[in-house]
Amino acid sequence: MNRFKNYKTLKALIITLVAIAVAGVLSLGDNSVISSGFNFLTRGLFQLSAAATASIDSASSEDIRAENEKLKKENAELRSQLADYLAVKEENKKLWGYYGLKKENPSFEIKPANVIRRDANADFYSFTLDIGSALGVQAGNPVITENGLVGRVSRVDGATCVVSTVLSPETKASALDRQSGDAGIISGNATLCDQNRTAMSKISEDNKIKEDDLIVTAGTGGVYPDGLIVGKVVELGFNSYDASRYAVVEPYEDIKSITSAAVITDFSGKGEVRK
Amino acid sequence: MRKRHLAPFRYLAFSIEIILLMALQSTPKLIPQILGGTPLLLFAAALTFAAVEEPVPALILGAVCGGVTDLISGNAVGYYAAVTTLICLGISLLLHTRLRSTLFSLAVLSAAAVPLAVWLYFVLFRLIPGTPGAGTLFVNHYLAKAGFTFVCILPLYPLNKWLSRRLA
Repeated sequence: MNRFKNYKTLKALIITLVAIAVAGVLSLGDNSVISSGFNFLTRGLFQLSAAATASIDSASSEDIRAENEKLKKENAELRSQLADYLAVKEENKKLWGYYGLKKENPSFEIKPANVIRRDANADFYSFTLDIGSALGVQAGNPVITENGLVGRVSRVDGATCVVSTVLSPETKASALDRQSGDAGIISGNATLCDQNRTAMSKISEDNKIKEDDLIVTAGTGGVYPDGLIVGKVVELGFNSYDASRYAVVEPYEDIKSITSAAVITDFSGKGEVRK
Repeated sequence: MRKRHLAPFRYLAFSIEIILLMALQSTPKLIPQILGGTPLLLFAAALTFAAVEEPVPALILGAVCGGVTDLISGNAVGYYAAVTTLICLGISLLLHTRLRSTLFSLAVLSAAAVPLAVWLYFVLFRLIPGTPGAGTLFVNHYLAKAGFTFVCILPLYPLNKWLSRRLA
């Protein structure tokens, strides 16, 4: 009897491991069957939960709370109308920001989206957006907010995409100091990411970078358009291991807590490598 | 003796719990980072399922929780699915053959299982690929993640034990 039970357990284990292996193969790469299906089924749930926490967050600000207290004296219909109005106003402000960017760069194809997931396993503050390849999003697309570059799409399926932030070492972007013209590579690391900072490395020995200088994308690799704001220089350093200089860059956006962003799906010069 | 006709309701309750924990684990700003870490709620739930279920259902529930953990992390199904399956099977076998299934015995086994799973993930996906500052990442995030995941087992075990008894 015990042998039969053990045999049954072993058989279940082998079947489960084979199923995991098959699911693993089917969920590899972009637009995989399993990831697309899972995200298609769960997107609504995550949109709902993300929207709920976003509304809790906005209600915590002093202005909204004071206004809310005042409105509590009025009827329920007015309260709900005001909540809707504030949400639309906030969204409108963001969309105007993207519109401004679009007006400055007519070649940009910008797709606004909301952050629906930030998982416990997400090192370097990566997050998931509620748009995917069905709206033309591809792996490698730059992701921005109205305050500048926040990362790039690292994985995409039909309904969602995962964004690797500029705080991550997996995101690399050629960048320029707008004031001095010095070039370097933006890439995050574990030491800086918790302070919402990234690093600009591979800068020349005789660079003229100063604190508070504005860092923008160079656009030389054809992955990011040129001129996207990355952040400002807050510190200059020297790496004694490889005798190189680097600048610590702080994005204008608090990447650890953003609730919405936009994906640039197309721009002039996309895929063209320039010298 | 378990009544077979109540088993579907038990698994339905576990499924609802998995969906709720999935939403809790990955909804932005819902669970604050404490000391740099947020808990792997689905992994914690899988360990408690293993403590209250027979080995075969335990390994299947482990595979589901692990697979969902992989998918909500934006990864392919693999690491957590396999590791959680094996750990759940091990815990269930031990608690049903060698030890008594109590919160204390689960806590002792989890004190080894949770750090092992988190450490192995770190080694395979951060240390071996050479992520810059991997040591800092481990100290600042992974230790707290393991700690909070372990802590979450403590309230989840009585809940699942209760569900298991009511719907036995």
